[in-house]
Amino acid sequence: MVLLILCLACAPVLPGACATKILYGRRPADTLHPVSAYIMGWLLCVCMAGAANAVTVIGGQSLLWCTKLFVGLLLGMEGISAIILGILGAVQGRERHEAFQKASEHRKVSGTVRGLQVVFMMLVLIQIVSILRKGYVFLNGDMTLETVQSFLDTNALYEMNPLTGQMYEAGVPLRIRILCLPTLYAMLCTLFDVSAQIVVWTVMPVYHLLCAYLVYYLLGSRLFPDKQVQRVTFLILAALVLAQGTYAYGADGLGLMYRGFRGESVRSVVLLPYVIWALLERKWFCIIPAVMAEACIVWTLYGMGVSVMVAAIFALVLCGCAFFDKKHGKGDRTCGN
Amino acid sequence: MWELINNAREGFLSMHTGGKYTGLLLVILVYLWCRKCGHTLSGKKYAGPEKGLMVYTTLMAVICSIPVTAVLLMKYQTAFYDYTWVWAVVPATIMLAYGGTLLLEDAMDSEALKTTRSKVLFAAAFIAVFILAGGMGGREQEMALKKAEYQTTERLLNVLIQESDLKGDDVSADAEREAAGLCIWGPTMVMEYVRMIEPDMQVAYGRNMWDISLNAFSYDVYGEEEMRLYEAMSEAQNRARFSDIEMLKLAVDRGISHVVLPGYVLQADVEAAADYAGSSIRQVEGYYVLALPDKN
Repeated sequence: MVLLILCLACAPVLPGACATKILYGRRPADTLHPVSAYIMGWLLCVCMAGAANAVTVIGGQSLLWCTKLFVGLLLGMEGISAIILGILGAVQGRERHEAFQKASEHRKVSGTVRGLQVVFMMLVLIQIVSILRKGYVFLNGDMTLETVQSFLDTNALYEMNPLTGQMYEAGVPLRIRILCLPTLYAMLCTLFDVSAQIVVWTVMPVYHLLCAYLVYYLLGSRLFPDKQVQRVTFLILAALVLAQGTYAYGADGLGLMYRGFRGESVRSVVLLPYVIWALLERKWFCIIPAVMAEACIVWTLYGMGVSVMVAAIFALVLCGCAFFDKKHGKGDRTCGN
Repeated sequence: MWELINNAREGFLSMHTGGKYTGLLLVILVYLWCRKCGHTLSGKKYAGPEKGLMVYTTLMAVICSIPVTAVLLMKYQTAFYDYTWVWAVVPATIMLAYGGTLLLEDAMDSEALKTTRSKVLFAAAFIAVFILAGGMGGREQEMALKKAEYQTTERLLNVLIQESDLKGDDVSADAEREAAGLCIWGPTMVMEYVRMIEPDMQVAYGRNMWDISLNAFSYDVYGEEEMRLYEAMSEAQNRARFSDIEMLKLAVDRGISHVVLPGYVLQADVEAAADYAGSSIRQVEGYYVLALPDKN
C-alpha cells in the first residue's frame, strides 16, 4: 500500500519534468511551473497505460502480460526522461535554478495568507477523510470495480461478464475495451498486491482529488499572479463548490467525491481545468497529453473528446478577443486584461 | 432526435432541484460582465477579469441551456451520455471560484464595509451562500444507507461462503470455488454486492438488469428466462410476495445454488417455496436463504 502511494506520487515526476523542459525549456524559469510538469507527467503515464491496454486488447493477451508491458514502457519512459534531464540539466540547469530561486525569494507570505492556507488544507483534509470513510460510491452507470475484479479473477481482459460472473457470449465493444482505467487499476492491484476495492474506491479517488487541487492551484496562480490572498481564496471557494456540488449527476463535485475513479470525473476535475490553464498560459503543447489521456479514459467520438472541443472553442474565443482588442487598441497577452 | 431534445430540456430542469450552482454561475457571470464594464461594488476600477475565460464560459453556458444547441453537444459526446454531461464543457467550478473571489475582493474594498467586523460578517455570509447553494449533504444520507445495507449483505455472504467451505486455507481453494459454482439469485442489493466483493461467485443476472445504462458496455443481452427471474424477485422485493414458485425449477435449471429472499416476504410463500424445492429455509441477517438442489 505504501509502495503504491509512493509509486503514484513519484512516477509522473521525471517524465513530466522532461516533457516540460523539452517543450518549454526556453521560457523564463518562473513560468515553468513544477505542478504543471507533474500533471503532464501523470497524463503521460495514463497514455502509457492506454498504449499497453490497447496492445493487450488487440493482441488478446493476458492481464499479466499487459502489466509487464506497462511496467516496461513506464521504466523506459522514466529512464529516457532521466537521461534527457541529465543532459539538459548539465547545459542549462544552474542558471535556470538560480533564476527560479530568485523568483521564489520575492514571494513573502503574510499571516492572512497562512491562515487561509490552513483553512484550505483543512477543507482538503476533510474531503480526503470523507472519501476514505465512505466505503461506498455512487454506482449508477458504473461497473469499474466489478470489471477490475473480473480482470484479476480471470487474468484476462473482458472475457468474463463482470456483472454476472459468467463468460461473455457476444463480448464487449472495442470502444469500451480500449479505455484503460480498469486495466490500469487491475495492474496496480497486481503490482502492489492491494485489493481492488481499496484501489478503485479509495486510493485513486484521493489521488485524483489531489491532482484536481494541483490543477486548481495552477489556475489560481494564473488568474491571480501577484495576489496571494485572492489565490488562496480562489482555492477555498473551489474546494467548497466541489464539496457541496454533489447534488447533480455529472456535476464536478459528485464526480470527485463519490466516483473519483471514473474517467468522466478525471476529465471534469483534472483534464479540462488543465486544458483551460494551458490555453490561458498559451502552452499549447500541454493540451496534447490531456487530449490523448481523455481518449484513453473516456468514451469519445473516435478520440475527439471534450478536451479537443474545449480547446478549439476556447482558442477561437481567445483569437476573437485578441482581434477585438487589437481593433480597439487594447491588445495585450491576456486578451483584455 | 426529439427524445434527445426532451432529455436536454428535462435535464436542465432537474439540475436545479438539488442545488443552485448553475443559478449562482449565472449571477457570477452577470457580476463579471458588470465589472468588465467598470460597474463595481466599491466604485474602484480593477484590471478586468480574464476576458477569454469569461466570454468562453458565457458562450458555453448559453449553448448548454438551449435544448437544440445542447443536443448538438450531446451528439458530439456520442449521444450516450446524459444531458448533464454536456455541462462538462462549462468551467462552472472555476468560474464560481474565480468570480466569487473577485466579488469578495470588490466587496472588501467598498465603502459600505469599513470596519473589520462588517468585513468578517460579509465574508461569512458570502461563504454561507456558497455552501447553501450546494447539495447540503443529501447524498451523504443516501450513501450511508447503502453502506449499511452492504454491510448486512457482506455478513450474509460470509455465512454462505463459510457454509460452502469456500474459505479453506489449502492451496486448492480456487479450484474448489470453481467446482462449487456458488450462484446467487436474490434482491438487487445482494446481487450487486456479490459481484463487487466476490469475483468467484456468480449471480443469475447482473446490475444492468435494473441500471440499463450499463448495457452500453456489452453486446450481451438478457433472455426471457432471466427476465422472468428478475420479475419474480421484483415481486418479492416490492410486494413481499413470492408466489411464482415455478421459478425455482427454472433457477435449478440455470445452475443457481442459493435463493435469497427479503426477510419481509410472506412466511407462507417462503414455506411453499421450500417445500417445492425440497430444501430447508433459514434466516440469515434478515434474509431468507434457500439452498437449491444440484441440477443433476
